[in-house]
Amino acid sequence: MNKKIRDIAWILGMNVVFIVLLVLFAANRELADPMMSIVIPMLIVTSGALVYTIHFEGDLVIAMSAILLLEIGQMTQVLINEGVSSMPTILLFVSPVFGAVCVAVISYLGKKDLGDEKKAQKALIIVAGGVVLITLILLTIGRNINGTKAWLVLGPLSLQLTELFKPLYVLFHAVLWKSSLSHKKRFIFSTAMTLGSAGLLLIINELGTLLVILLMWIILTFIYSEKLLDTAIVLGGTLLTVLGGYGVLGLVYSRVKSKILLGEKPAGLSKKLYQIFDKLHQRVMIFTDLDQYMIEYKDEASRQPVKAREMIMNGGLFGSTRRTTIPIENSDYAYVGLILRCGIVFAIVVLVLFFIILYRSLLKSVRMDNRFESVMFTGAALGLILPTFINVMGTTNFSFMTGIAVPFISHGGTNMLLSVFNVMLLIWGTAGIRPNITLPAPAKASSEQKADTPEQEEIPFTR
Amino acid sequence: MLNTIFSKAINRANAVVCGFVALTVIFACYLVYYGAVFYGVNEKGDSLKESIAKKEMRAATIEGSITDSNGDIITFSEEPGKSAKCMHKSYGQLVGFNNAVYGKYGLRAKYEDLLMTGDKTHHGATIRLTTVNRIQNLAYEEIKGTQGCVVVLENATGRILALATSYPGVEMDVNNLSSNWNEMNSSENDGFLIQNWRKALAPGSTMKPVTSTLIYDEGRADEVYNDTGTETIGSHSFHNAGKGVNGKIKLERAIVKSCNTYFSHMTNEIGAFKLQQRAESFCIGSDLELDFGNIHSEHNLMSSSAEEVAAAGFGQGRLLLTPINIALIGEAIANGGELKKPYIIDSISTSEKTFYKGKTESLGTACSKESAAYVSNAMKNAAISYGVDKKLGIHAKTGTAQVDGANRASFVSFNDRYTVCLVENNTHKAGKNLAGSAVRIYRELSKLS
Repeated sequence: MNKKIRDIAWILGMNVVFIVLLVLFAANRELADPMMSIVIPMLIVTSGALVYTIHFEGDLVIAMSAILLLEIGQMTQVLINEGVSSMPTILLFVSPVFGAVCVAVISYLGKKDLGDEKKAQKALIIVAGGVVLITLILLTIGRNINGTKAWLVLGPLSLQLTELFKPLYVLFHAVLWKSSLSHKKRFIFSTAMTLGSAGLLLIINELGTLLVILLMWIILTFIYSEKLLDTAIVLGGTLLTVLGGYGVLGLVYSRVKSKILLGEKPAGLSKKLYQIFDKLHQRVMIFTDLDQYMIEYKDEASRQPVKAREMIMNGGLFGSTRRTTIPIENSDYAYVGLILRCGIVFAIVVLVLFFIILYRSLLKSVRMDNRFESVMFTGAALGLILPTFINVMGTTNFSFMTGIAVPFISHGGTNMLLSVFNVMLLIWGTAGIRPNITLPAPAKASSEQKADTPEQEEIPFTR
Repeated sequence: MLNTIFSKAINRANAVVCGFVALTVIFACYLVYYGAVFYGVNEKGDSLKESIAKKEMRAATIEGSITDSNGDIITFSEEPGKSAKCMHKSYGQLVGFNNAVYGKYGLRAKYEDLLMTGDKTHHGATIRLTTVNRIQNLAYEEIKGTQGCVVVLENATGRILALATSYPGVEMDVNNLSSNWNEMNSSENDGFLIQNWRKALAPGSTMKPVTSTLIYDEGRADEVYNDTGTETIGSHSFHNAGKGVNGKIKLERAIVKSCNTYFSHMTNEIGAFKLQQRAESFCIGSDLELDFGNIHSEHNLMSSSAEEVAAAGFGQGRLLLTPINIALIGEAIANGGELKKPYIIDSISTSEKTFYKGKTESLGTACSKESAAYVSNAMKNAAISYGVDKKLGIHAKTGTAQVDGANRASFVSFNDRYTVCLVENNTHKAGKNLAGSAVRIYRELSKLS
């Protein structure tokens, strides 16, 4: 008990010091009211998160990294918006409640027996049905915001429903790998889910989430599939599909364009494909030729990457107080906004924090005997790091741009809810995992467990 | 092999982690490079960074004004980031524009850095020109509607009092570029309204003063030539304008009568080498770096045939001069052979600092004092023969060159203080038709203190 109190006191002290440092930094950047916008909400939320972690004996490094990211994210939003923004602050209090409910659901599902092939298939169909349902909702009553029909507007609330694709996709694979389906069936189901999701996301024009799903597919297959050949097929297939798809879209584009030039109206599907390629091609062109766009103003679409580079150049290593305006800076371009205000060094620290979460989560989750939980936790970690890398590399022109939010840093309700859920899942998931050195299992139980889970013998951790 | 390494999920997870570590390190290096954090590492990035800084400074700076020599406004701006307004259309081609959509041109392009470098009050530097607004406006009015150019120089200093250029059917309204941008860029206007003082074309007889100084310095001014109306050199026969016949004439009369046969004969006798040297002493054939841009003229006498050299002696052949070169011929004769470099920038300064001060510079001696005096006297008589009032004290020489089926009319003149050169391209006029415009400009110049 005394140790627990000592841990809480020490970690809370560290947190307070960090918040004070952030406030001093924000004050240096001429922020109006750091007390109301950073100190109070952060102290309440992060302290609660730390107590939660210590209480459940979760991984403190993961918790601390996530809390630092949360605080940096809040400061970034306050700096970008130049003051208190009520919605992100409200979300800070709502997200843990949502996360707790979701963790409870996952906990319940983890205990479910999926040994029967039919039960497993039923569960898989239900999860896949969820993805289809989201797509149907978006296609019928979804709202197009920033070029993607990914939003469901309910009064004052705007929910980016496509964010749910990621946890559902992970859940599908968690069920898949826990089930007793044959290797062949697993591979077929996994491929079908991936391609289905990709197709639906393409219709909604949500390229960012599509990229996350594809990368998740490759990484999950690589880690969990018994055969390395599966990864090669998935990787090769993905590359071929992406390049082939781009080529086919290009072909459709040129045909539709010639029709438009002749004054004809293109049909529904070809018009849709035309629009998708147009968006893709434009981004590829900006990615390959940004220097030229920097020299001469070409069109509105290139404004964001051009401005983003200006912000990075102005930000330098340690940030700047210069002001540069960029459309949707608080969401897609929040990372670039962070570079402008806090510098490249600070921005790299953010990436390192995400990496720490991945490292701690991944190396613990793969050692778990419960495959459902193992895949869920790996998926949760990937759900945090993949959008981050896709966003930061897109907005800095390291790769071509796709609209996706950085967890904790970007403004976005759905993104915040799911990011907090992911972290809570990881903290809960890592609870109780300790080196299994001093407590060897009884001989009989050990031999039974070995038969069920052959990997257990070589795993130094158990849950 | 790979199967062995990645046989376990833990190893594969380690590989994923290593992949992300590598990606993070590469990305961090890229970001430092992409953001051009360290000067000299990314040259393209460095120049982009500089242009961004310039752009930002420009957005926060009120563009500096341009004034004439009396301090009267030519261009001015009141708001940061807004393009300056030009008060006189006669200056459109000279001051040009600096526009986010249409680009940069003229003095506002050349001196952009100074016009956009703010002082404490966020005002860019003021450029004071050597011009006089009313002379400039008059000069412009004289050539408006033609493909013309007027250069007015102060003989003793090389200060430019007017530098106007015009095109038929279109004016460069720098305050309203969108309205006539297409006309300005039409093929009829050579793709863009190039400042006519930069156009090098055959000068016609305005080259004769140069050849005349050479003939005089060669001691052949008093040599009598019998003009029969035709001079055959090699396989080519030269004629006078209007097929005129002047009989027995010397240099002075040849200048007044603009006798092509005389000049072709004498040039042929003196030779290409000496004419080329003399042309070079008048800054013909070399690039002139002036404060409003470079002027490029051409001669190619050494590789020309005898006929071409003879033609160059009276301003045809392989000889291309700009109106500035033609004006310099007049200025050198007026100054007794001394060439003064033309300049248009009097000063560039802010309230805190003077960046530049224009000054008189010598371009060397073009010819002997005696030859200049001789030619000057002949040009005085020539001016009278063009109908110019003797009392005005104007010395002049006309030129009418044939260029692509049309005329290039030129009129170079000077009095004791100023040189006035008018050129009209692509016209049916002859050089002497420009005398009236020159006289009106001289009358206005006489009002200057």
